[in-house]
This record gives sequence, structure tokens and C-alpha cells, in this order.
Amino acid sequence: MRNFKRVVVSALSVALCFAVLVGTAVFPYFTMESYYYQDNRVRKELAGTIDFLFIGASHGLRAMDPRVLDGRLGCSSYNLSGAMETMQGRYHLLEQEVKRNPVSTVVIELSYNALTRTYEGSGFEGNVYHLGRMDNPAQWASYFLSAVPPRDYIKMTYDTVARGLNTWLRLWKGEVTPPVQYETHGFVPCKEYTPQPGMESFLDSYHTQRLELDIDGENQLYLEKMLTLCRDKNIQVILVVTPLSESTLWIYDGFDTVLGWYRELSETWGCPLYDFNLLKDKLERYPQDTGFYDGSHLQEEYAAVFTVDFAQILQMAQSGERVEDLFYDTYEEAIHARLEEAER
Amino acid sequence: MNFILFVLALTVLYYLVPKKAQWMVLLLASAGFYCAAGLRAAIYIVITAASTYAATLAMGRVTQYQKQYLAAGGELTKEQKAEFKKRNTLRKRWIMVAALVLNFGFLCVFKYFHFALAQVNHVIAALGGAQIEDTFQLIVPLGISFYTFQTMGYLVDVYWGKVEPQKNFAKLLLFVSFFPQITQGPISSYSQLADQLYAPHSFTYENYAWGCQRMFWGFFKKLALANVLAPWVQAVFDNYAEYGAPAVLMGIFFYSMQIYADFSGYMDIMCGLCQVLDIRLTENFERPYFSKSIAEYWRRWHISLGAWFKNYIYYPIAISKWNKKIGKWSQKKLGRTFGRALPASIALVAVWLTTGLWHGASWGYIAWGGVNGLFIIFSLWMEPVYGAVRDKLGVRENDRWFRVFQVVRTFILVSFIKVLPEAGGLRRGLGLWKQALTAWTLPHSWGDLFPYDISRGNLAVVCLGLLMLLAVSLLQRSGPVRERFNRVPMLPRAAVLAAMLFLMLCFGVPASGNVGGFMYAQF
Repeated sequence: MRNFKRVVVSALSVALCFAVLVGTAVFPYFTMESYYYQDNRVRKELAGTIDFLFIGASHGLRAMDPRVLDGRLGCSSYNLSGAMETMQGRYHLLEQEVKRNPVSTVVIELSYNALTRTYEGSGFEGNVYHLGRMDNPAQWASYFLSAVPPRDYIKMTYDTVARGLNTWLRLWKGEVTPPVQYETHGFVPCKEYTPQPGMESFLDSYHTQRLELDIDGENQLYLEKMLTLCRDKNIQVILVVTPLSESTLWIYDGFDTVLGWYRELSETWGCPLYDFNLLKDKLERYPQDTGFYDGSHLQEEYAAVFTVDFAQILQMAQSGERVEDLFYDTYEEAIHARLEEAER
Repeated sequence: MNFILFVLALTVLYYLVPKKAQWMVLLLASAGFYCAAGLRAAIYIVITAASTYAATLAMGRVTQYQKQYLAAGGELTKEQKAEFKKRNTLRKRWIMVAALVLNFGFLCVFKYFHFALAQVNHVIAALGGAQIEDTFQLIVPLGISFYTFQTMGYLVDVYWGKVEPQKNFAKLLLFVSFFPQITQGPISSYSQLADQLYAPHSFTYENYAWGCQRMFWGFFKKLALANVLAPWVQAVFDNYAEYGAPAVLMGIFFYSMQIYADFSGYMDIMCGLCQVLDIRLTENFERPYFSKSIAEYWRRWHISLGAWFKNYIYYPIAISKWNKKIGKWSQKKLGRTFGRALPASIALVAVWLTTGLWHGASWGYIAWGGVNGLFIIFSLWMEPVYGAVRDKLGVRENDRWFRVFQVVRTFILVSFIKVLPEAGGLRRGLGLWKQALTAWTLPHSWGDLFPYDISRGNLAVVCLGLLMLLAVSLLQRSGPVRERFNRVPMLPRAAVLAAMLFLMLCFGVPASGNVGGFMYAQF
């Protein structure tokens, strides 16, 4: 027994010293640089005031500007999206915010890989960000243990410590800039744009790659949990797909299959679905040359355009106008029709 | 991470089961460890164990029969007894040779087949014949060099009557496949290891603490030194022709440090693990870079391999009748000093060619073994000359500065010899030597010393690690470092270990791609 006690005490001593070192290393990253940690602080300060939530992964994070939405709809909105945010992470965030805010509308952003992305395929990066946004130690531990497999504990600690050391280095050089969540309410804009391939390349690249089409059971489970949570709290849910560059739509095969899943979800749960890739005037609204940061993320100026478009569609729908006429029915129809239109 | 979890589970299970069954836990762990590397490879280790088991039992039966026969047959004459013993020795020898041929045959086929076929093709090509296509896919079983040598050592020991044959096959299988030493040694003798494996062990805090500290040190050497140095060394080996001598020399120095940190790091991890299990493995290193001659260096580097070659190749050749005859002849013809050195040199040539071949099937390794042997034999022959020169210069052998000179000289020599087979073949190894010795310009900038991608943070950690290595080596001269370390209060001790863990985590390169694996596992 004495041996056992000494083993435990010595192991705990090493663990404690190690935790102090790791804590010191990562402290500046979370407190000064990580916008996920800052986001957590902002949300805490705004608790009790938010009535409109937008939740998704990086496509949503870069597309929905709550300041524009608030001006258009007169609501108090917050963009809860995060880069590589997992569906499990979205559920936990939504649960927390719905508890402490008078939420009446939740917009769930569904990108093409929202249901198919897995830990095996994308790694732990999304979890690092998500863990940075959690302030409840019990929830933090619960999420960590359920989302990260033990084989990656060391790599994940290494990754986090490396971020911390990098922030120390940037502090030393005076390069640390505070995050902007206070002004943007969760929205993180892409400041630059990258010209996307023009229509001359569309036909050549048509369906040269295929989307991953295996639905991950866990993603589906947490999406349904989100929908159930909203239904139980009598919160209106809207499903939305943000615009991708037109060239991306031509390259990948499988968008219509994904659209089919989301339509089924929309019908089953009775919540409207707006897929902005089916928008008839998409090419004019989100031009290929300046509209995108990369193939799937909107540039800041066009994020504002998207937010305006989205608000307008909501207002039209609320006033009973037919919004379906603004959209094509399928991706295949949309891309070919838009190409024909552009060529004319 | 998987390894740490495996070790944790093993330790808990090992001390929870009844003491009589502890060796079975080790056997199960070894089987699991080995099978994880591929089930097919496990067949060969079982064949080695089974053939050795059968051969040693058969030799044991011959010995037993001989004892009983001689005890019962009191009326036999001295000549009859000698004849009977001779016949039995011959029988045992045939059994041993059969087992040796089978097991070394496996080793040769797996390690040297492709090399041998390539040489045959060279000869055929020179004669203008058609080439033999090398379409055979041979996957070398994990640790075959190590377990074959260890098992054959046991076989020969049984033949010599040094140890009794093990009658329990499972216990012998554990000795052959004991997982901490299967991939990189040490090559333990049966008398040193077997009893420890089968004996009951109790958990003590001291073993746990000392063992864990040693594992920490081993992981630090591997992750924060060897793995960080690996890409820099590779850059020099790949591009030495474009680099100046300072950068190539730095690469040679880094390689010496890398291979030491890698190999001794592995040994520290495994010796530490065994200490937690209350088992002491043979030590494989004794501060080798502080050796005063190449011969001494090889007594302090990979000690268990050197001991194996000494016991099973060097001595049998050195004391063989034919070699003694050569010795007598040479003493008459060449005088006492050189006459004595000749039989030892013959044994050394055999040892060093085998050592070269053991390390790898290439001319580079054969040349590497040859150069090592050449230096040792040359020193042996020149010893009287060295003594005379020292006397003439008035240098005392135990003078501190002379010792420092010897250590530095030996380090430079072994560092140069080490890189010979590692730069991608003998020709490239010689090219690297040439570049290091001829492309001389004084380094004017950082880039002249490190003309490859190098982070200053990693370089700082490498310097810190090397300083720690040096400090530990110097402290080891006056006794075990861990003994002193464990006299320090718990909190500062924990802080040092946590700091090492932190450095490993931040700057250590985890096993991945061509950096991760242990270097000696390839042998």
C-alpha cells in the first residue's frame, strides 16, 4: 500500500508540474489570440440578449455577418459557427446558448460535407477550436473524452502547446493583435479574394472529382438532436447552404445527392431549406473573380451580400411571397442553365 | 501513446497475477507485441525456438546418457571412456551444427538473398551471361538478427555445458521472444536473463521510480535529439556534394549524436521498462564516446553484440588448434610481439567481417566492418611502436591531456567510420569523406554550417540535449546518476521530469514517416 501511495504521489507531482508548464505555454494563446476563446467571453457578456442564432462550420463563419442581419431584420443575432466545427460541437454550443438566451430562430448552415465529415478524415483541429470555446470544465472534459481518441492526446497537446509558444513568440515581437469578436458577434470575415476559374474551364472540369457520400451516423445523430432541441423549445429552424464558387459546383459530382438528404430533412422536420447555390442570379450576386476567398468561402464584401440576400428571402417568406421561384430545382439544372445564360 | 498504454496494462497485470504466472504474462505480451508486427513473421521465431528446443533437449539427453553410462560402467578403461565421450561430443556437435545451419540459414536467406543474387548477377554480367531475375519478395521478420544470435548463443552454451537445456518450451519461447529486446537487443545470454524471466517478482517503488526515470531519459534522447537530428543528417547525406566541408563535418557529428541518442535511447526505454518489472537487462552502452581507442569503443558500444562475437567467434577461432599452430609458426618467423598478434588478428578479421555483414547486406557495411577491424589490428601490431614514441616524447599514458587527445581522436575516427555505409552506399560514403576532407572553406555564415532547413528553437533544444548528455556521461564516472537524482526532494525531481516531458512534447519529433523508427531495428 505504501508503494502504491508513493507511485500515485510521484505520478501526480509530475503531472502537476507538467500541467503548470503547459498552462503557462498555452495561456497567451487562449487569452490573447484565439478568437474561439474570445468568442466564449463575448457570448457570456451577451447572454440574455440574443434571439437569432446562426450555427455552422467555416462556410457559415465566413458568410453570415450578424451586424448586417441585425440592421435588416431588427433582431439581435450571433454567428456561432467555427472552423471545422463538428456536429457534436454545434449541438453543445446551441444547447448552451438556447439555455441562456431568448432564442426564437436558429439557422443551421449545412455545407456539402456537414453529414459526411469524420474525425478520421479531418483530424482534431475542429476539436481544438471547439474546446477553446467551452468554459464549463465538466462539459469540456466530457466533450474531450467523447470526441478525441486517446491515440491523439499527445498530438493534440503538442498542437495546442505549439500554438501557445507561437503566441509567446509573437508577443515577444509585438505582433499579437486582439480578435474582433466584440464588433462582429462571431463572424470572422475573409479579407482577401482569390479569382476563381472562369466559365471557359467549367465544361472541362465537369465532375472530375466526387464528393464523399457516406453519411456519418454521429453527425446525423447530433443534427437530429439539434432539431429536437429547437422543436422542444419551440424555436424556428431554417436550414441554409452558403454559396460555393461556380467552378467548385462543376468539379464535384454528388451535390444533388447531398441536396436530396437536406430536402428530406427539411420535409421531415418542417423547416425551410435555402440553398444559395441554386440561386438563379448567383453568378451576378457572387462573381467568380472577386466573390470568394477560395473555392468554398465568401470574401468579406460578398458575405455582406449573402447576409442581405438571406434576410430578404426570410422577409419574403414571412410576408407569404413565393421564394421558390428564385431558385433552380437541382444543381445540374442550375449550373447548366447559368452557363447557358452567361454564354448568351 | 499505444506503447505507453501497453506498458501500463502490462505492468498492472504483471503484478496482479500470482507470481508463478508472471512469466506467462510476459510471454503473452511478447506474443502480442510480435504478432502486431505481422503474423507471418511469428512463424519464423517459433521455428527458431522449436528447433533450438529440440536440439538442446537432444544434446541434454546425450549428456544425461553419457553421465549415467559412465557412472554405471565402472569397469571401462580410460581409453574406452575417452572414446565414448568423443563419440557423444561428436553427436552433440552434429545436433548443434544442424540447428545452427537451419537458423543461420533463415537469417542468411532473409537478410542476404537479394545482396547475394545481385553479386551473382554482377559476375554473370561480366561473363556476358543472362541475368537471374530477382522477383522474390522477402519480408525480413522483425528482430531476426537479434533473436537468432541470442538463441544460437543459448544453443552453443548448452553444447558447451554452460547451461542446462530448458525443458519447458513456453519458457524457452519467452527467452527467445522477450519483447523489450526483440527489435534492437540487447543480446542477452541465457544465464543472465532466463532465471530473471521465470522468477517471481514483487513491486517496489524504487524499481518503479528508477525504471520510469530511465524511460523518460530514453524518450527524451529519442524524441528531442535523435528524431530532431534525423532530417538534418539526411539532408547532408543526400546533398553532401553541394555542401562545403564545415556543413559535411557538422552532418557527420550530428549523425554520431543521432545514432547514439537513438540506440541508447531505445536501450534506456527498454531497460527502464524491465526495471519496472524487476528485470535487469544487460547494459549495452558504457559512455562509448569517451573511449580512448577503437577497440575500447567497441567494448563500450553495443556491448552485448561485442560480447556475443567475442564468446562465439573470437575465442573459438583464437584458441582453435589450427590458429595456435599459426601462432607458434609466426612467433618463430616474426618474433614474439608480431607472432602473438597474428592469431588474434585472424580472429579479429573474422569477427569484423561478420560484424559488418550482421549490420547489413551491402559492400558499405562490409567495408565499414573491414575499416574497424583494420584500425584495431593496426593498433594491435603498432602497440610497441606507440609505446616507444610515447616514451621518446615523455608522454605518460595516464596524463589527463593525453587521455583527452585519445578520446577526441577516437571520437573523430569512429564518427568518420560510422557514416561510411549510411550515405547511400560505399561510393557515396567515400564521396562524403572526400568532401569533408577536401572542400574546405571557413564558415562565414549560418548557412555555411547548416545549408538546410533548420529551426533555431530545435537547434537550441539539440544543444541543450547534448549538454545534458555530456553532463550525465561525466557524472556517470562517479556512480549512477539516478542514485543522486533520487536523493533530491520529490517536487524538484518531478519538475525536472515534467520539464523533460515538456521539451519532448514541444520540440521532439514524434514517430512518423522516415524519422520515427529506431535506427537499429533495421539491422
